[in-house]
This record gives sequence, C-alpha cells and structure tokens, in this order.
Amino acid sequence: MKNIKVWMLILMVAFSNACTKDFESINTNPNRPEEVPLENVLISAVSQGVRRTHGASMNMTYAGLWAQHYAKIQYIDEDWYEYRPDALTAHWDGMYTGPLADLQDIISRAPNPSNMRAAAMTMKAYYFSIMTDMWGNIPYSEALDPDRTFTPVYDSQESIYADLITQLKTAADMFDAGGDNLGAGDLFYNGDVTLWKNSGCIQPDLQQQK
Amino acid sequence: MKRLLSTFALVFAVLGIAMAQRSVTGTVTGDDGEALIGASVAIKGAAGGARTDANGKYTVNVPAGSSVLVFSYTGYNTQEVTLGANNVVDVVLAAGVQLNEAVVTALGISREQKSLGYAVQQISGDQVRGARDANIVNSLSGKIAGVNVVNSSGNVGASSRIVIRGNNSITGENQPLFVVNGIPVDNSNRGNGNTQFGGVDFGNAIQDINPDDIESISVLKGPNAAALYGSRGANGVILITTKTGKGAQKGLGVSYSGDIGFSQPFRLPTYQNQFGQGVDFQFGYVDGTGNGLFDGVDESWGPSFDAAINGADGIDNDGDGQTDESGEGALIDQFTGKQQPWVAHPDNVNSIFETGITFTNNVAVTANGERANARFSFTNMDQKGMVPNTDLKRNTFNLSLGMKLNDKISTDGNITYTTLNSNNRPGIGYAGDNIIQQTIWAGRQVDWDYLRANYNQRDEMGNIVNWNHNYQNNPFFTLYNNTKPQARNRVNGYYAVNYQLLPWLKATGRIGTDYYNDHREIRFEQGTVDYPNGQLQTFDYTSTETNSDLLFTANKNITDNFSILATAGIARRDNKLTGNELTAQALVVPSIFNFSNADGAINVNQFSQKSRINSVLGSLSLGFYNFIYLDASARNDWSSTLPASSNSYFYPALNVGVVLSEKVSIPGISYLKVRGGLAKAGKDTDPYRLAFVYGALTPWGGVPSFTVPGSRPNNSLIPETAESAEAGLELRAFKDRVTLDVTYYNTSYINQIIPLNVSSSSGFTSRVANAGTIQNNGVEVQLGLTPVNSNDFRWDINLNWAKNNSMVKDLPDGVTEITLNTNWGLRLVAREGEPYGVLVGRRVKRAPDGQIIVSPTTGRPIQDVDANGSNTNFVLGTITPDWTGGIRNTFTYKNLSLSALIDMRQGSDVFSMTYIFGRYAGVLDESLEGRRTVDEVKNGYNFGGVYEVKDASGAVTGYEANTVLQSAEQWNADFYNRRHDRGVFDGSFVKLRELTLSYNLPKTWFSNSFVSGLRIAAYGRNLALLKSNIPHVDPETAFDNSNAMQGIEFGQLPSARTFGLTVGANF
Repeated sequence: MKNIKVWMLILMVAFSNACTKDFESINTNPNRPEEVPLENVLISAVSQGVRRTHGASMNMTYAGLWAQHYAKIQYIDEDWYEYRPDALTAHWDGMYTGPLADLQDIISRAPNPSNMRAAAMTMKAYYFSIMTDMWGNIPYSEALDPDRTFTPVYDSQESIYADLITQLKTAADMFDAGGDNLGAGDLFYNGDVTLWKNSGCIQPDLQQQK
Repeated sequence: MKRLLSTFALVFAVLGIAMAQRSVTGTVTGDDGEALIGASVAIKGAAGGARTDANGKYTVNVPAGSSVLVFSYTGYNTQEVTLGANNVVDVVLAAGVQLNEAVVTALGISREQKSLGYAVQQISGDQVRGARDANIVNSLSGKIAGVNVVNSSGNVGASSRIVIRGNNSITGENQPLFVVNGIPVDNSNRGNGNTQFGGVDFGNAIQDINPDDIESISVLKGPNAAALYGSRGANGVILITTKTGKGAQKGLGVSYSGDIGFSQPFRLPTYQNQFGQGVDFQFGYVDGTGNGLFDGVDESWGPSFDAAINGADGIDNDGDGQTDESGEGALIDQFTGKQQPWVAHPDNVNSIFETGITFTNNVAVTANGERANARFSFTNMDQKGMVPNTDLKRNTFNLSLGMKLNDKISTDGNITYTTLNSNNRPGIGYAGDNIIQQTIWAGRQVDWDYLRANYNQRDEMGNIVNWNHNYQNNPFFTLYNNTKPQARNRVNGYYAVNYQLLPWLKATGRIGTDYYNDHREIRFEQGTVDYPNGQLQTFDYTSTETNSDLLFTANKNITDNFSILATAGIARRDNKLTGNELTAQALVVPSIFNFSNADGAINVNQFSQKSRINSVLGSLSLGFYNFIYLDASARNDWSSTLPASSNSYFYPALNVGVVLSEKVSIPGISYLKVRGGLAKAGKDTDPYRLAFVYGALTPWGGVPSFTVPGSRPNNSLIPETAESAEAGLELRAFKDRVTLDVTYYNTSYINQIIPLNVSSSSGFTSRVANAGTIQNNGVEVQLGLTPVNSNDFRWDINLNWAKNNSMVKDLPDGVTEITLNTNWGLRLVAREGEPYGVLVGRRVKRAPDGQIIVSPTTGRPIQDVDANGSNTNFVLGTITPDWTGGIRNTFTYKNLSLSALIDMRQGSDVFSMTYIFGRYAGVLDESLEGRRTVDEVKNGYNFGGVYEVKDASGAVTGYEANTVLQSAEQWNADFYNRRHDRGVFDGSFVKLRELTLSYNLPKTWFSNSFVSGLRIAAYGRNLALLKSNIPHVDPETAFDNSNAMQGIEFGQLPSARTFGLTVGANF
C-alpha cells in the first residue's frame, strides 16, 4: 500500500510537467486566425457598417419607412408603424457587435499615432453619430469595453456628440500623409489620407446646429 | 512415573491440539477452468477462513476438530469439502443459477457487488438481445433504475437519448460515456442541425454497437462509481463487455443466431373523415397554387363528404355559381381530375407505410485452449424501414484474442470493424421534406395511393403530380428522389499486455482507439417545392479518439481478514475531429448529385479540432473481515482545453460498504449491506474556447475580410465540477427470493461552462463563462421477487423504479434563464428555480374553475398576461419525468420461458405541434366539433368558455357563459393563434415494451448430432400503449437525441411496433 502511494507520487511529479507539454499548440484553433492584418478588419468594419446604415435594412426599413419617404408592398410592418422587435434588435446588435467591435479592435491594436487608428476613430465616430441620431440615448462611454462591463450605461445624445467631435478632432490631427498606408481595406478614399483628414468634422458639426 | 507419563500425556495432548491445527492449501477454479479471485474459504463450525488470491490460490489454517471447508463465490454454487489426509485441496465450483453478482466496475475491473460502496447495475447480453432493437440504447429502456431512454422515432437508424439520474449540464453533454472493453467510444450525433425545422436524424453513433457481441452491460450511475472515468464519467458510464473466447467451451465452438423482425407504425393520429380540403366548406381544384377555389390551401375546412350536409347547408361548395342540390355536391374538381367523387380516404395516412423488415444474422466461432482463446464474429443486419425507400445495413466484424505467453505475460485484444450504410432516411421536422408534415396539413380527400402510383408523372401544368403545389411535395417523389444516404466505417478496439510482476502485483499497458469516418448527403431533386433548382449537401466527419494507459494493480490478502485491491496508473486521451460540409445551392442538370453539377458557388465549412487529457489515477479498496469495504479513488486530469492556470484538476471519491449480515443475523435475511460515499468529478470544455480568433467573411472585391467573433472567449475558465453523494441499501432475503437495492443520491454540477448572452453594446452577443448549477437528487429502487420457484416452474419479477428531482440554480445576476430551444415561439429553457427543461410560452386565460375565458363579442379565447405585462413567459410544463420505471415478469417452465417488460414514465410534458397544426388544419378528429350538423355548418357553434364581468373600475366581478357562435375553422385556428398551452400535454406513458416467448429445445432431441444447443423465440416490441395522456402521437418522442430537441414534437415519424422470431444454435 505504501508502495502505491509512493508510486503515485512519483508518477504525479514526473507527469505534471510532461503532461501539459504541447497543450498550447493542441488548443490553438487551426480553423481561424488569431491575428490578421488590420486592413482586412477595416474592410469588414466598412462594408458591414455601410451595408447596415445605408443598405436596404436599417436605413430603409426603419428610418425611411417611418418617415414615409417611401412605402413597401412586402414586409410592411414598419410602414404601418408596427414594431418588430426582432428585426430592429438585429440592427442594434449588428452595429455594436459587427463594425463597431471591429473598429474598436483596430483602435486597440493599431500603433498610436497611426493613420489606421485615426481612420478607425473616424469611422467609429461616424457610425455612432448615425446611431444616436436614430435611437437618441445609447450606450457609448462604456460600450465596446467588455473588460470593463457587459452592461454599459446609456449616455445622453448631448454628451455623445461632445465626445464624437473630440474624437474626430483627435483623429484629424493624427492623420499623416507620410504615415502608414491604409491598404486595400480603405474602401472610402483608397488610401488618400488627406481626404480622410478633411472628412472628419462635417456631419456632427452640422447635426449639432439643430 | 505413571504420574509423569500422564503429565506428559496431558502436555502432549494440549500440544497436540495446538499442533493439530493444519494448513490446507489449494486452488479454486470455476467450471470454465478460470481461477476464481477472492473466493471465500470458510471453516465450518469455526472462526477464521481465507480468500483466494489473484491466481485462485488459498492457504487456510484449519483447527483440529474442524474437518469441513466451505468454498463459496458469488455466481457459483457453494461447495463443502470434507478434509482427508491431503493438505492440498483443489476445488472446482460450478456456475450457479443465482444472479451474477460479479459486476464490471470502472477500468473494467470485475468485482463482487458485495464489496462496492456505490450503485452499479448490470444486465446480461441476453437481456439486450431479448426483444431486439437495432439501437442498443433502446434495448436499455425500462431495464435499469434511473436510466431514462427516449427513442426519437421508429425511423431506421433514428437516434435515442439516454440520461442517467437526470440532466446535469445546461448546454453540454448529458448522456453517459459509453465504454467498450475499457475503451471509450463515441456516441455523437453530428451535423443534424436544427432538426425541428427539417433535416435528417442520422442517429447516435453508439448504434454501431452490435448486440450479438455483447457479453454484459454494466451501468455506473454517477460520479461515485465513475470518478475514475474523469471528465466524462459525471453523467454515468455504460460499460459494455464483449464476448471473448475465454469463457467459451473448450476447443472449437460455433454458434449461429438469426432474427427477423416485422415493424409497423405504433401510433398514428386519429383523423376526421367528414370534411375535405378547402376553406369555408368550399373547394375547387385548378392548379394547386391558389388559382382554383381555395386550391392553394392545405387545410381540411372544405366541403363535407356527406352529400346530405352539402345539399342543405346553402353553400356553393364547388364554386360553380349555384348552391349544391342534395346529392349533387359529391362531385368536385380535384388534382385527380375534374368532377371527381368527393370522398374521404380514411386509411390514407396509414397507407403510406410499408411493413418494415429487419434481418439479423450472426455467426460466431470460438476457440478456447490452455494458453490462448479467440472469438470471431460476423453480424449482418439488413433493415428496410416502414417509410418507403428507407433502409439501413450494418455489418460488424469482431475479433477477440487472448493469449498467455508464459506464467507472467499475457496479452489480449479486441478489434471491431463496422460498416453502416443507408441509401435513404426520411426527413423530419417542420419541412416539406418530412412526409408526415403533409399528412397533418393534407386534405382528407387526398388519395395517397394515387400519389404513390404517379409520383414520377407531371400534370398538365408540368408540375409533379400532387394535391398542392404551394407548400407540399408529392411524398413519394420526396422519398424516392430527395434521398439522404449515409456511409460510416468504423474501427475500434484495444490491445493490452499484462505482466505479473509479483504474485500480487500486475502491470497492464493498454492502447485503444475508436476511429470512424462518416459521409452523409442530403439531396433535393429539381422540382422540390422548397428547392425548385435542386440542392446538394454533403457532410464528412472523421473522428478519432485514442486512449492509452498504464496501470498497476495490486491484489493481496494481507491476513485472512484484510484484503487490498489497489490500482495506480497514468492515462492519456487524444481526441481529433475533422469536418467538411459542402452545399451546392442549385443544380444545373437534374438528378446528378455531384458538385461538378453545382449551379453557382459551393458553400464550404471546414473545421478540425483536437484535444488531449493526461491523467494520473489510482484507487484503493480495502476489505476487513468481509464486513467493511472501503473504496477510495482519485484522479488528476490535465486538459488542453482549459487555461494553463487551471488546466490541472484533482478529484477524489470515497465510498464505504458495510455488510451487516456478516455480523448480525436476522432471520430470513441472508444478505444486508448499507453503503454510502462522496465523490467529485472534474470536467473540461470544448477546444478553442479560450483565445480570440477572427471569423472570415466573404471577401470584398477580392480583399479578404475578417471580423471579431460574436462570442467572447474566456481565458480564465475553470473546470466544471460534479459533486455527488449517495447512500444505499442492499438486501437479499428468503433464499434470494427477495432482493432489494435502494439508492439515494444528490448531485450538484457546478461552475458549468456555458455561453451567456450579454448586452450587445459590449461588442459581443455572448460570452463563455463558468456559471450555473444543476442539482439532481433522487431515489432508485431495484426489487427482485421470485414468488414461485418449484422444480419445473419459476416466476420472477424484476422491478426498477427511479425518481429524480432537478433544479437549476446559481445563474449569474441578470440571467433568469438560458434558452435551449425555441419552437413556434415556445421556449425550452433552463430557468433558475425550476427543473431543467421547462416549456415556457403563451397561454389562454382561464377562470378559477379552469374554464377558458373568451371575448364576450367574438367568443375567441383571450391570452393571459402575467404581472410583468408579458404574455410569453408562462411556465407550461417540464420535459423531464417525475419518475421512470419498468417491471419485468418472467415465467419459466422447464425449457419454456415467457417474459414481459412494462415500461413506464410519469410526467415529462410534451409540446405537440402535431396537435396544434392538426387542429388548425382541421384534419384531427377533434376538429369535427362545431361542424357536425347542417345547423352548425350554416350558423356556427358555441364552443363554450366564459367571459369576464367587470365593474366600473375594470375589476372582474364574475363570469358569464359564452353565448357567441363561431365557426369551427375560427375556433381551431386559435389553437395556433393563441398557442401554446393547449398544445402541451402530459407525456406520461405505460407501454408493453417487450414480450418474449422462448424455448430451449431439449438436448436429447439432437444428442447424436453435431448440434449442441438450439433455442427459438418469438417476441414483440412496443406492443401496446397501455396508458397515455397525449392524443394522437407516441408520448416518447424527440427530433433527435440532443438537449434542445426534447419535449417538442411535430410531424413525428411513428415509432415502430415490432414482431419477430429468433433462432439460436450452438454447434
């Protein structure tokens, strides 16, 4: 019996190192990358976000129909002001977990300062301005920060706008024509940093006049 | 001198008594020649005794005056031997007719049940083969206390769910681990998708196990017994031991068994046969898409088949512009032609089915010699389903070898090769591909025999001949063209080397593997309603699990009254899975199901995953005076799927058994034992849940596009833990004519790793976290009675009963429930404070006396709203049973035996969309209420209910009976519109599960031939539904065997009632 205990102890000691060897490589996902070039994330953020904000969904199905800018012959619920929670939630969830999460990822990974970071900040401010225009008070200051909270507070539209302008100004100052190339992911300005720099502050400023 | 002599004599006499104590040694073997380990050697009329060692050897000190040794071993007849002059006594014990008390426990160690401190229940292979079912899981139903089996359907190869002692895991695996000859085997049911809305149940992989090769099945019910299996033992373990040549007759033996079974539907809905297709008692067919008079609908609210009603109801049934005269309304345009007789086809659903036939043939050859033994077995199962053009073929080749190389080294091994092939299985769920769906929607006038005869014909419009073209395919077109083939090849087995280091110490090195590849296809021919351009999906999976271990086993009787059985070892498990799922959304040319024929892009989903667990494990069993048995086990796992900081986890188990009958003698009771213990089991998680990886989107303009994942990984996960306590009592009385085993258990499964929904504004839709507990406690009872045991006649009753209470606890703040499934708005959830798996949804409002509250103006039921203003949050039922049980009565007269198994389940609610849609569509018998007479057809019907009488403040002051008449069509439509509670039924049942009549032909009949034994049997399986509270469908139902697809039913492919014949012969 003593022998068994000793045996077991020896085995355990001998084993505890050996038996976690290779675990890291075994548990590395071979199907999906852990790191990708930022420009390939930027293209996701731009294409997904624009599809939602300007495609035939959020913009058309909700804002456009509610404002009676046009009507539909099929799926006419919103046209009649009938609220379909699932359909609307898909856009709310889609914006935060899709393009905004992608942009937040770029902001956290891109060098500071860099054109990539500045572009992501600009796009993020742009999307948030559309969302607060649409929904009013929305989670902003605590949003997209799961390390901090999974239940971000709602911020007032006023405070959101104030920060959007700060963000856009910071981004505009960060753009550097001699800096990093935004690559093929820049569907907007095809890498022209000057255009990015100039694009920044127009819309929120205009909106704030109202 | 005389005195001196007498003194000497006295001294010698005293010495002589002392010296007369003699030491007797010998070997105890069974009548099969195997040494019996741990057999009891008692001295009649004196204290003391001994047990045999690992080689069956014993040494016992016999005091003078004692001359009889009593040799006993469970499962063998006790034998008394009177000592002669020889001090070496070898004994051969004959196998007894008693219940086999030696059970297989964790790590495949065979032990006396007496010495265990936890519940283990074992059944023999014959009990599984009795009234045979192709799926081994179904054969366990009703036979083991605490085991709940749900057979999904009577479909060939359908999956079967098995849960022991309740569901433990909220979203993970709840079914036990299957272990064959010490090697875990896979029981996945991959790639089925969301079968409630279409797809195929390709069945759980354990159905590859061939019943003909099974020697015994031992069920370890919880962590106490199964802690050594680690991670996956928490849900219990089904230990299957296959036959070998070891126990076979000496020399060469050949056996054959043949079986043929005939199957037919067990239960089909009761349909109405008074009204056909249409709306508002009207119907006229043009093209089946709505261009005729309601010919696009697939409901049975059309004209009556009764010409008297049609003539008198004042309705223009066929839309010809005039009200039908009496007798005229019986000719209406239909898909079979213009002005066809408007008649019901009462047998029309039943006529879809054919008689299912299953042939099973097995040949086994055994060889058993001094140093080696072998068994080879080949089994062919050929099954034709009840559903036309469905089949399943399974071939199993099994080879078992055992060899003694010398006194110290022996090896054994077992390899099984299985091929499983199916040309087609029926589609299931709410989909056009499920042929049962349209029997629920179809017009009752539809002639299915006409559809069967013309499924490959086209009508004038070029459509495949069918009664409807909006929603439904010709079911026979579906069955013959939209096929779902499968081919699985599987190899599993092990090889072990045993080395006897010391007489009491053995080392065993073992490697085992379970490998299979599984190819499935889902084909849609062009012209199918849902896929007019056709579709092809293929799924390829390759699964490998390899287990290797090195174990040291010590077995020693330190003194006569103190024995040790200890094991220690190391183990490694490697799992690997690859998958390749391809879809062609359209085909260029019909009938060519090949990706070269794809029209457009082919969607690809490819994945591979790996995981590894390394373990150190040990167990120690101590026995004192055959009275107290202590059992301790411990295991430490290192899992690759957990973070480095928490990937090592330790879990122990301690169990005690006290055989009271060894010390206390109670009249009539031959054996009484109490036992109890505590155990823990750790569990890891799925691979790749720790690190953040990007998901790939369709490239944009050729530029790859990657996005962050929706579910947030968690690199601080800790292992899940099951904590279990159990206590039990075992009793045998009146010469074993009464046996009782009662167990109480309490299991908590804590720190479950589950995806939790989070606010999407955090950037994620869910996060993986340790959260939630499921607690299960309950009682299991096994009772055996032998009311009659005369020379020729014996009557045995075996009863299994178990009650389980489950409770979901400790969900994180802000999370009240975790949704497992959503079906037509009804949610199947794990809700805090409720049993696992409650049905949550809408309900109609009811008065205190239970009557439905209706609108005073329309007579339609009103929906209930809870205190929070929600109408979707009512708990309507619980899918897990309150208790399960089985009773087997066996009558044996000489060589004739009759056995009946009744299987019962109490509780376990089922949400039946068959019922709801069957009412909505007006096909079920109940839908006749309110349209039986001309008056009801013309003016409507009062369906009852009460309306609320309110005072000025809106408070309800009383109830008045409804006076509003409405159409049956409206009333039945509200079963759907106001669902769900009126579709939730109590799924309790009592079934006559098995009935077997078998006869062993007297050996004298063929004593001069080469035949050494012959047995014939007739059996029935699922013969009768003795009690059920759910209408129309078998209460035992599921879409497949996953957690989410339980407790909900639609378009059930009926389960099978089977009659069969078996012949068995030994040569």
